[in-house]
Amino acid sequence: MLLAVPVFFACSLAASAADLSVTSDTLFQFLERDTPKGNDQQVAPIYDYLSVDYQDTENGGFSLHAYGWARADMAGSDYFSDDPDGELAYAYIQYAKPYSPWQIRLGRQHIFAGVTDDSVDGLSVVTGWRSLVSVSAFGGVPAAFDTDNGTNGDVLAGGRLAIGNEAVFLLGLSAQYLTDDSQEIDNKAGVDTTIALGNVGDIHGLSSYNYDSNRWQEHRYEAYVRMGPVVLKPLVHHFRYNDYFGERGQRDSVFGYLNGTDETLTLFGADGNWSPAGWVTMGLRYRRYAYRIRNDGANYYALLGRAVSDNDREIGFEAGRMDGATDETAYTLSRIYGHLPNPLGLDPKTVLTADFQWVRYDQPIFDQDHAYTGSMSAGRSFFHEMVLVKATGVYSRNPYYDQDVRMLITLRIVY
Amino acid sequence: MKATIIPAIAFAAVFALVALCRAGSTRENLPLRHPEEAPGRPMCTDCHNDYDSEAFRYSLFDHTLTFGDDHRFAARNNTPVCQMCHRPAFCADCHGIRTGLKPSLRDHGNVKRRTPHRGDYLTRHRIDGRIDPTTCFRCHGSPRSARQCAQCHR
Repeated sequence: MLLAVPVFFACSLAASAADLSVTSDTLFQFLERDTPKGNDQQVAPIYDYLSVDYQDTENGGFSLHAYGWARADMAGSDYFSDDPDGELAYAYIQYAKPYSPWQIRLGRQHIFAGVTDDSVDGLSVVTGWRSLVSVSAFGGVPAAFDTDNGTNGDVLAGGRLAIGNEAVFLLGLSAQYLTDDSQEIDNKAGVDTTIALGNVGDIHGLSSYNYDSNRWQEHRYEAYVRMGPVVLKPLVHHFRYNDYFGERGQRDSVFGYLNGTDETLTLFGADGNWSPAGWVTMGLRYRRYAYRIRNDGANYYALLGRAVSDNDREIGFEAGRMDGATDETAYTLSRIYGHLPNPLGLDPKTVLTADFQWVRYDQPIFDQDHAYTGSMSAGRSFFHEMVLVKATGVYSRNPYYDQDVRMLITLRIVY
Repeated sequence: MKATIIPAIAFAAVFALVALCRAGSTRENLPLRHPEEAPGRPMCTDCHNDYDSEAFRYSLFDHTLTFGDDHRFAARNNTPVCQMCHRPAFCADCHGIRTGLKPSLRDHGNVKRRTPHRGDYLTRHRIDGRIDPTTCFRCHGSPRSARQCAQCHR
């Protein structure tokens, strides 16, 4: 990284005019929580989310992208004592040209490639040759693992080779090698595919093979079918817990117990979208969860909808039912929201929004059988949208909090 | 496993040759930015519907009602398509090592965005996590991203 910064600036000086965009979101939050100091303590964290993009989007070439956040508690509470006060999400230099298969990145970045969905401090290269082959490769130090023992023996590397073209048929082969403190913890290979079904739709799938345990860990296949105003997305997923959670699951205390249960989860269902007119869309969702050992599958059903006007006004809703085998795993959910720019035609730079969600639990939790959360928000932009001020009040009543009031204020400045 | 993979590769090679004859390259068809702003949540196939000439299956990117939940295949292998409209920070609001605030609070007031953990998810995750823990693991499956979970799940 030390070398990368001067190289970037040298290259950028030689490049044609690029756009520098710096966005700072400063977010003030006020709430009350039980902390080590006592109950109902004032907590007032201030967050700053800063993103920097320096790129010539027309001609491409070298560009810089960075994003991270930091937090300080103005009330001085101990509420965040177990939680680090910041994170660098990504910071990388990229080389990419329009209409070119090449993309090279150096720095902290998130990798999506076949079986890999992880952050790395390192190098990634993507290229291809016409419609026949595309190749990606990456390597470096995994960014999402603790570095208490240094980074010696921490490696995340892998790549993907794809043959074919999505317009007809594509087969991808990918692999990942991950070690933490020299222990191999998440080594896997995978096959992904896209099969085009002419003008009707397509089928996509990914199967991942855990080559620490030498067994398949995940199969995930989905289809997309469009028939005029109707879009259907059937899916089937299958997971083997021992292999899916694997050694990686043992690295934290949350998921480790699932490796060793010999359980499998098969999930199938479909989403349907019907848009009879451009301004209105209705949707249906169904999911079936089935297990090999547990004898308590579950179903989820939902009805969704939204209506949008030409001037970006929108209302939407969702009504869902998670129907587990016992009352302990069953709830009913409903949500309605509204988005109203230019309220009453008074100010086109103002946006009002409202959101209400209600959940009923079949079995009470801490003697409460329901929860609701309501929020109202107002935002206004200034100076040609270079400044945005947004305030939201949230009121929630749920099994964990009798009455939870939260105030959020965001000041966005785009430089 | 070999018995499965060898025929699959042969099958793929035949189709790949057909693909080579039919279309230009994939990334070589993409600008860095979408030439026109696509307001709202676009259905890409409203315009990109000439399946014989398109190098991508833009149907994957149609922003349907549930696109916030099921854009995994679209984004995973074709991130440059996403980046024609979205800056990387847009993705990092949810996909990162740790996001600080849950996405619906980070982008409070944006009720149109189908962000995860909206409302009282503290209670609901007891049920969702029992029914499908693989969904939790996808984002909270590394030591640093699981730190928030570990405050209670010790």
